[in-house]
Amino acid sequence: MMEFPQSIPHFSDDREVETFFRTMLGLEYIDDVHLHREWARGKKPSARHVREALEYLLRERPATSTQWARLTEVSFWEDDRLYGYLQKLYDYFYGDRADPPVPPDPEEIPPEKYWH
Amino acid sequence: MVHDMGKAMAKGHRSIGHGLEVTRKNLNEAEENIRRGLHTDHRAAEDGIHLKPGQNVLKKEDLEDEYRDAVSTRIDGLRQEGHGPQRHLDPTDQMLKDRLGVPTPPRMVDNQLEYHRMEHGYVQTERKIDPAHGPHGKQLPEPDRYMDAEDPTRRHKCGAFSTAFKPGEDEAFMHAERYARQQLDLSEDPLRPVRFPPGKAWGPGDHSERFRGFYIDPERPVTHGNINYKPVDFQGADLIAVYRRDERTGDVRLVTMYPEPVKERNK
Repeated sequence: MMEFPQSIPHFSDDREVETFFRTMLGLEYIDDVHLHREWARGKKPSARHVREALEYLLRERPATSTQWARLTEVSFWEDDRLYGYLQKLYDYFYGDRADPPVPPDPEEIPPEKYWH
Repeated sequence: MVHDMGKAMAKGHRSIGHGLEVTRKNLNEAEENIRRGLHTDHRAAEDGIHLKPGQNVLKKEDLEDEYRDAVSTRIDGLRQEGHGPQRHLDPTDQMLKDRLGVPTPPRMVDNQLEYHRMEHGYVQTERKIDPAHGPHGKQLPEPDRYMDAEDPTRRHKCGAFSTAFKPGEDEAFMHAERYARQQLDLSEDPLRPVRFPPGKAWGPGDHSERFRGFYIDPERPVTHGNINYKPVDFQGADLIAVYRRDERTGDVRLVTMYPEPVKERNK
């Protein structure tokens, strides 16, 4: 059930795309996402592929926040919060948002259903 | 020796002088040939080895020592570049466990303890100790103890798994890093992380025995006050190497390198 959706463009055919989501947006490096803004805006094929993948994610919402957490170790706890973050990231990379979005604190208290 | 031979020839020793006319000229030529032979190492000339006075050919053990020294020097160099060896080669098993932190306080419901879970199913933890603080990290005052060794303004982060190379795998670490460095596209800015199966660096085979790591048992995080750690299964794990450019010199520096296990194999 938990496999990350392979329908996301370039997720399977460009290792950079998976690495961007898994590692750069992963638990340890998500606070440094601002380092990748210029790269994301650049003309490198992988940068374009990441943009296409992000656009697909925002349009289709193919991954649940739980699938996302299994890929990145970052818990957004609910889909709306995940896609809210990705939209802000998109606006920061390609639009006029000045600051990178703030990811969830991994030590914040989880929602009720995650006590067990 | 020449002197002895001269004597032997002078005495007309049969084994040497047989069939030869023993003359002063022959004697001088024989002596000269022997002298030349003593000053020329024919084998060395053929093999291209040129030893200076006082030098010896290295024995196998010496070569091994030299290689070990070279590996050690390289790993030391990588320690200066980032925190790769400090967090993922040097720590003891206990330091790896301490890096996971402790489960956030549970609550009691119907006489059962309930723990916070992260969304991926592993238990939520706090008070993580960065192994890059070194072996005395646990003795640091709070809250320094729980901060990142490289950036003390940040609380140390660690995912569900605390992973490393096994002790003594310095050479494997060195070769994996060398492979990763060769994969870098230096036209990228910032440099992109390199993710690769270990076999790419070390040749075919299952290299999971070179790694070690722990996670907290999601089923039973704590028993009688003790955290239940499970060893990580590294089959199918990738290595991830993260690089950065030195702002001042432009040199490529390894930030870190670690094995990332497959979650499905570690439930």
